[in-house]
Amino acid sequence: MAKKIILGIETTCDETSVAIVENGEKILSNIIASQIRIHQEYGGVVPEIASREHMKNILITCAEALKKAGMQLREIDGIAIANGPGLKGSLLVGLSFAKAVSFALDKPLIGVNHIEGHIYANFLVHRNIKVPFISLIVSGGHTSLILVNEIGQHELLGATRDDAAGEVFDKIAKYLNLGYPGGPIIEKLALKGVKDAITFPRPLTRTPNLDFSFSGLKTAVIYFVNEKKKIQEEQKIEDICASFQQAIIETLIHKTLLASEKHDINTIVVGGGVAANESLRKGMLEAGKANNKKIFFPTKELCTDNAAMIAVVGYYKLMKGFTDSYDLDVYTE
Amino acid sequence: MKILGIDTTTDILNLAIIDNGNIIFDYMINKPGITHSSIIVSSLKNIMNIAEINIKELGGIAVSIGPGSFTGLRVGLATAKGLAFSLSIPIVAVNSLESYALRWKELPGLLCPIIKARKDDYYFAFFKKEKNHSRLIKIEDYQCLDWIGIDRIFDKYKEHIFVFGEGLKEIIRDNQAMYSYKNKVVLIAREQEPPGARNIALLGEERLLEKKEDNIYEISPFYIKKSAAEQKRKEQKNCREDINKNG
Amino acid sequence: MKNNNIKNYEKITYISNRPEETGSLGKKLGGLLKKGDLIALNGDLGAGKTCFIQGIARGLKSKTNASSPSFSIIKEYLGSMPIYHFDLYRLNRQEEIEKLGYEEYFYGNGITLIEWAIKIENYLPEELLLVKIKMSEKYLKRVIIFKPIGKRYRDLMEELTKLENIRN
Repeated sequence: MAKKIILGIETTCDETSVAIVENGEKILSNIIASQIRIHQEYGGVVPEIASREHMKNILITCAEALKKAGMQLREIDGIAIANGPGLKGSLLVGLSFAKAVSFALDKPLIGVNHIEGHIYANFLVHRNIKVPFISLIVSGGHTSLILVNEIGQHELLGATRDDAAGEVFDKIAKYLNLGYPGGPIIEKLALKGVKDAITFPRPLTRTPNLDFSFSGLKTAVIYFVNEKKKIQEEQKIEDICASFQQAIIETLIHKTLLASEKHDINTIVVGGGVAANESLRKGMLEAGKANNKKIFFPTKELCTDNAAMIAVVGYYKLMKGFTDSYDLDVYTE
Repeated sequence: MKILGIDTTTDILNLAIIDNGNIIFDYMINKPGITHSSIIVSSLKNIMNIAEINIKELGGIAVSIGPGSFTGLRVGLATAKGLAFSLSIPIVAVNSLESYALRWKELPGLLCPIIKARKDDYYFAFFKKEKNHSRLIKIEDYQCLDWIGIDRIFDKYKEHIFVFGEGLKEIIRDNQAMYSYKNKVVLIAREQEPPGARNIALLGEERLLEKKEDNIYEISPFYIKKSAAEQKRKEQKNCREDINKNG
Repeated sequence: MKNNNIKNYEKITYISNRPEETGSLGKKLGGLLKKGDLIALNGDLGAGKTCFIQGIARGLKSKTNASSPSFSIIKEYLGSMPIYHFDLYRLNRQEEIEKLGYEEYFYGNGITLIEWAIKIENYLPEELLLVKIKMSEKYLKRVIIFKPIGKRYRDLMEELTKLENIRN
C-alpha cells in the first residue's frame, strides 16, 4: 500500500512544533521551535524561545521539518492541525497556516484534538496497543481519563474540576522556591525523601466518579508549610516533595484503575507531560502488574507537546475518511 | 502578474486579486460574530472558482500587517505565509494606514487615516503627497492616541487635513469630533470600509516590481505599544488610587 | 431604608467559611453581571480565586466547569453571555498581555474575569470590580474583599449587598 505522509502542526499554547510522519508510525522529523539551533538561511531570523511566538516560529519550524525529513511540501498527503483545546490566539496561527497550506497544495485538512494527540503519541513507540483501552492524559494543562473504544472514537470519562496535576507540581515548586519547571525538580528531590512522611489528602479518591481535583491538595501543602514556619519547625524539603508527589501519583493511579475496572478494560495508555515522571511510570507499572493490566507510556520526549503525535491522529483520521472543511474552527475548552 | 491582497485589519474580511493593476475580484464580507478564521480560506476558494483562477496562477501575496485587530491580523498573516510558502511566491507586508491613505491620495491636503484601537484610542498617521510624484510620504509616524491627542496634532499644520477610516465611525457617533471643529479639518464620514485588499494588492505589486519583497520568515503584525506618555499617565493614576485604596 | 450609597474604593467584606460558600457568593454575583463587566481578582495561591470564578460561571448559567486556566492563560466559555476567564499566573512580564489580544476581550461582548490581575495593573480599564481573597489562620476560612471602581460597579455592589446582607 502506498505510503501516507502527514504534516503535523501543533501550536495550542506555548510551543510551536511541526512534524512529518509516515504511515502514522515513523517519525521523519519532529521539530520543536525552542530546540532549533540558529540557522543562517532564514535571513538571519532566529527562532524565538519565548513562549507563544507562533507567528515568528511557524515557518522556520515547518521549513526545518521538511529539511530534516528530506521532503518537499508537494510530497505531503495531508495536513493535521491541533485546533484545540488551547489558547485561542496561538491556535489561530496554526490553524490559519494549516488551512492555507492545505488549500495551496490541494491536500486534505484534518483537525486534531490536542489531548487525543497525547494518547496517540504512544503509537509512535508501541506497535501492539489494542482497542479498547483507557487513557490517562496528565500535563500542565490537563488531567483527563478517556475511553477509546475504537481508533478515532473517544469518550471523556473524567477530568479535573480545578487544577491539572502538572500545574500543581509547578505551583507548589514555585511556592517552595524550588525553581521551574516544578515537576522534574520535585521528582528529583522526592527521590531523597520519605513518601509517607506526611499524609496529604488524596482528593476525590473516596468517590466512585472519575473526576479529579487537586486544588485541595495544593492548599493542604501550603497550609502545612505555613504551619511549620509558624511553629518554627523544620521539615525536610525532600520529605514534603516525596509525600506531595506520592499523593498525586496515588490519586492518578487509583482513578485510572477505577476506570479500567468500571469498563472492564485491561489496557491502559498514559500520556502528557507528567507521564515523563519516573515515579508515576514505576507506580503505574507496578499497579498494572498487580491488577493484570497492560500499561503503555510514550518515551519521555514524546510526553511533552509535539507535532508528531498530532500527525499520527491525522493519519488515522485520514485513513478513515475523517477530513475537515475550511470552516474548521478552534476551541479553547 | 496576479497578486492576491488579504485584508483582515478590521471586522470586515476583504480579499482581492489584481492582474497588472486591474481588478479581477474584490470581495468584502462583514459577518458579525464570525471570525475571519472560519471564512477566509473557504471564501478565497469559492471566489477563485467563480473567477476561474487557479491558485497556482498567483505571482505574489500582499497582506495587511496592521495596525488593527489583533486576532484578525494574525489570521490574515498566517494565511498569507502559508500560501506564499506553499506556492513559493514572494510576499509583501503592507501597513493598513498606508493602504487607507492610498485610497484618498487625490485629495488636496494632508491625509489622516484612523483605525479603532482600544477603547477611545485610535491608530493613525499623517500622509502627504510628494511634490511632483504620486507617492505618499508619512509626516506623522504611526501612533495610538485618543481624539483629543489627535486633535492637538492637527494644530501643528496649516494645510487642510482629511480624516477618514473605520475608526471615524465611532468618533462621530460619540460626538468626540464636536470638540475639535476646525475649518481645515474635513471628516470623510461615509468611510466604513476597511483599508482595502485592492489597495494592499496595488502597494504589493508596486513593491514586487521594485523587487522589494519581504522576508517571509520575519514578517509579524505591526504593533504600536502604549505610548510612553500614556503609560506614565496610567502609573500616576494608579499611584493616586493606591493612596485611596490603602486608606 | 437608609440611603447607603456605596462609594468608589469602598471595601465591602464577606467572610466565607468553606469553599462552597465562596462559590455560592460567586454564583450570586454572576447572576447580576452584565455584558462588558470586568472583575479583577487577586489573592495568594490557594485562596480560592478559581473557586469564586466557578461560582460566577454557574451564576451565568454556564454548563462548562471553569477549571484553572493557569496553563492556557485564557479560556472562553458560553453562559448567558460569553465568559472570558483569564489567569495571569504564568505571565512573567506585564507586556506579555499585549500579545494575547486582551483588548478584544476587555472591551468585547462578554464578561471578563481575571485571576492574578495585579500582574497587569497598567492594562486594566479605569472602571472595574476589584476582588481580593485573603486566607486566614483557620484552614477553610477566607476573607473576600470587594472594591468597586466606577458607577456600574458601585451599583453592582449595591445589588449584591442587598442579596447577601453584607457590608463592612
